[in-house]
Amino acid sequence: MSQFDKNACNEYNELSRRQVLGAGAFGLMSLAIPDWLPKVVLANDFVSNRDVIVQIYLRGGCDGLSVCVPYGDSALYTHRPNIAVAPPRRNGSRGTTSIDLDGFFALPGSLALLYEIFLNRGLAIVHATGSTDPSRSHFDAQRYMEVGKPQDASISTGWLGRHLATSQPMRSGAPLRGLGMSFGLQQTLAGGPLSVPVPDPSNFNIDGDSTTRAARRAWLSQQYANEQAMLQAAAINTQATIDLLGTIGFSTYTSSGTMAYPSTTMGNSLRMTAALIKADVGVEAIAIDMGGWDTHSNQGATTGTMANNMAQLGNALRAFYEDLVGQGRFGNVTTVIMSEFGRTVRENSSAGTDHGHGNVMLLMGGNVNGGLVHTNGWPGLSAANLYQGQDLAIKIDHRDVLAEVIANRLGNGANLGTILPNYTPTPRGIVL
Amino acid sequence: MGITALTGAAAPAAGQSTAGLSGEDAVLYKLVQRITFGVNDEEFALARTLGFEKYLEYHLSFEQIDDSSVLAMISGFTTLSMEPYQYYALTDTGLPMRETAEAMLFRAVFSKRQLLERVVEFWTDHFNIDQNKASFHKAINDRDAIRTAAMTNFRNLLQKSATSPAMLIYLDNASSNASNGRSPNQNYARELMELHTLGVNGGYTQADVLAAAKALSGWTYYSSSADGVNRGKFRYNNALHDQTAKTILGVAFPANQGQNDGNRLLDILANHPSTIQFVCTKLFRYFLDYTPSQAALAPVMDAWVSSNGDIRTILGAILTRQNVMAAAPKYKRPLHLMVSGIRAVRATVTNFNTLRGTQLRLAGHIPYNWSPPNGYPDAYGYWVGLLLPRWNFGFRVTQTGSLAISGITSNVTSLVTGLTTANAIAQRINQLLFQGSLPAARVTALATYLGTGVPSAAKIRDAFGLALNLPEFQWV
Repeated sequence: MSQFDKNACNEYNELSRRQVLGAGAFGLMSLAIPDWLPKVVLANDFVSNRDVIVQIYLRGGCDGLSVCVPYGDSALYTHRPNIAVAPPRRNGSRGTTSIDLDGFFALPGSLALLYEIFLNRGLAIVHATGSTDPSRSHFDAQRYMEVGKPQDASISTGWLGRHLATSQPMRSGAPLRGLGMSFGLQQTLAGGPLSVPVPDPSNFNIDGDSTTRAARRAWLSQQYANEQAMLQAAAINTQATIDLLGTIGFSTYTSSGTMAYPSTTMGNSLRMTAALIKADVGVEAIAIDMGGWDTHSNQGATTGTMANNMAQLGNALRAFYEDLVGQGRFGNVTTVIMSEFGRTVRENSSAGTDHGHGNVMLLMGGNVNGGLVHTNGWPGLSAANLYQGQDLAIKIDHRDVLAEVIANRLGNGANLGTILPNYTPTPRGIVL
Repeated sequence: MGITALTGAAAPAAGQSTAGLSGEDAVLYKLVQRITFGVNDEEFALARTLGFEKYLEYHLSFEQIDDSSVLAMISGFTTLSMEPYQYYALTDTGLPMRETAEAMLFRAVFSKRQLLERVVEFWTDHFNIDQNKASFHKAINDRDAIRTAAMTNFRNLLQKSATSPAMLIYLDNASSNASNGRSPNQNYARELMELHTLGVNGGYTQADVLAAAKALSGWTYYSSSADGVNRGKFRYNNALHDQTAKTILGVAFPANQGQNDGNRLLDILANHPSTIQFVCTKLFRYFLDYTPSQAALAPVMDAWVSSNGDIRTILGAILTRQNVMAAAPKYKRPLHLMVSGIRAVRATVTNFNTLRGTQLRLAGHIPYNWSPPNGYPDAYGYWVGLLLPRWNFGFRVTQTGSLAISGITSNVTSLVTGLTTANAIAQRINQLLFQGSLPAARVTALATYLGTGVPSAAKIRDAFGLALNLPEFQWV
């Protein structure tokens, strides 16, 4: 329960929330607040012992050996003569090609903007991790990771959805708790109460003649009142989301930090995420997808497809970091970045990589054990050490990391058995 | 298959209703909904004239349906009849895909060969190709693989897909080189088994994927300007092929078989029991039911076996009277919803540019734009959450002027000419958009919105939009 909820009888906050929920029923526009803000006075006293969680899912199988390069394992360069990111020139060097992290791992130059966050201990990297599900199918691997249990086709709700379903709203009365920036709700959020897909939060309103808009909306609400449960919920959530998002000026929102958001898809997604967080309207779980990671051919190294993808991700994350720091909320937001599987250690004849197994996870936030690359012992890349002879082995079940996020940042350790069924996580000390 | 007397409409189910229809009309309405891109007066009248079996046969024998009116609409799309090599010389290399998408939408809305168009949509997703990777090669794939083979035989369709440069580019087989022990690209081989044939639980292993990738190595296309008129066509390049002996799915492939390795692999996959189960289930799901029973599937799979994968025979086994009557409601995907809306309000169309660039984009259903290889989902849970772009489509396609969708012109007030009461107009809307199938309460609600007195043109347009946005219009 956040402190905000304890203070919910505070008249100021109560008024503010009603304004948001009532879509501007109170017209206090004279307050000296920037255009982008909802018609709500922001809580200076925003203090919560629960974080907002942002999940960024890298769809397609991101090549973890390029995201965090184990340059100290010389087998990498044997397996990948053309597409391995070159090692730093010497220990501790920060070059344009790669940046040494700890004498064994390096960040590629395309992720250079993450290095400051790492140095400031706001970024933790976990390596040789992932879902232990053996599938090399994108769709099975994603599914089992998102539902939170390998090889169980009977589960259709997501781990984050079940977290929401087993926890009180971070903010009581919030009209919306989970938001998937996608056309269909990510399976991660499936089963979550008040969770909706919103592909573009800055464009979410009813079209047509504005003078009949309210009447048309009211009519539709009546017609969807007794429909199949999911459709009925979609109609209710759609109406509430129109009201909620309409109060937030996404299009004019700018960072509170020193770095503008890049005008990329990921930059815009994180800019809107930051706007939602700053608006403090109770959205507590945001899922973002990024595609383009299925690099079967011409993956590239310092430049090329993979480097471009990483740069888009890293640059946007840095802007998000600066904004949250500027907002004073970096300690209230945990960002989890993962992918369905890593890629083959050996490059293929198309100068790409195929579907693999072990991978990397990134965690960003004020309470991650940052500035470290966490492994449970590097499994090694020599042929004898590879999973099924071709892939990086998994030494840390990704659910160990999620369990620390859930227990330590989302305040829901009591329901781990529901959120990550039939699994006893091993403490890793990655999220504090 | 006998015609049994009906004691009422299809099984009642949430979502879709034929409350206002009785007996055979309810069955026919359901059939037309399932095999077309939307019921309209003309199509429903045809089904009533022909009856269930003859109407289905009419659509299965699509070659005999005169479709000259829609062909005239798309005759200006000159890239649709070009040879692949000509595409490379275009100044605007995006034109073939724009014309392909426009032509597809013209056909979906206006073609009389409606079942063919639904089948084409099915195979387009089954053999998904993202135009952002394959570029104009997808236009050739659409014409020469998907459309040409959609109603032929699965083995034939599989061959056309496998030799399609768009597929070889999209799933990277074009750049695979497994000669002299090099690592082949596994992408196409995996998705061929996982998504196109056996299914993810179809019984293959990682070793099978690797061996299949070797069998398919050398399947590429002529990509160089030096290839002249062959440019953009399939090429088997033996120099890239793994000539060693292989074992795939337990079958021994001897050494030095060249292109026949791949052909033999497709032979094995095309009529493998796992393929028959997987593809029959997907087809049944697409037309009739998200979760078909194994009992319902058994005759369909038998039809595949006895016809050696003849697609028309398989469709006939799916679309039986019994199966159609028993089919549970299915939620329209956005493109289906929008095409059916355009058909229902009898709009005229000059182009679909705005529909594609705005309404379909906001709904997440731009043609040929799904990035992963599994195709746009055919799943209620995926699409149900995002209602807003569906509602906004309904509110726009019924409007005029600046509120309308550019390129699409409806005149819904002309459809109720002479009617002056809310009730009469609501009844007419029910007839035009739902063939009279709406529950009475919905008709009353529409009349309530239209209000007292003679409804204004603006009210009438709103009412049409609201009717398209009713739950009943979201389902088939």
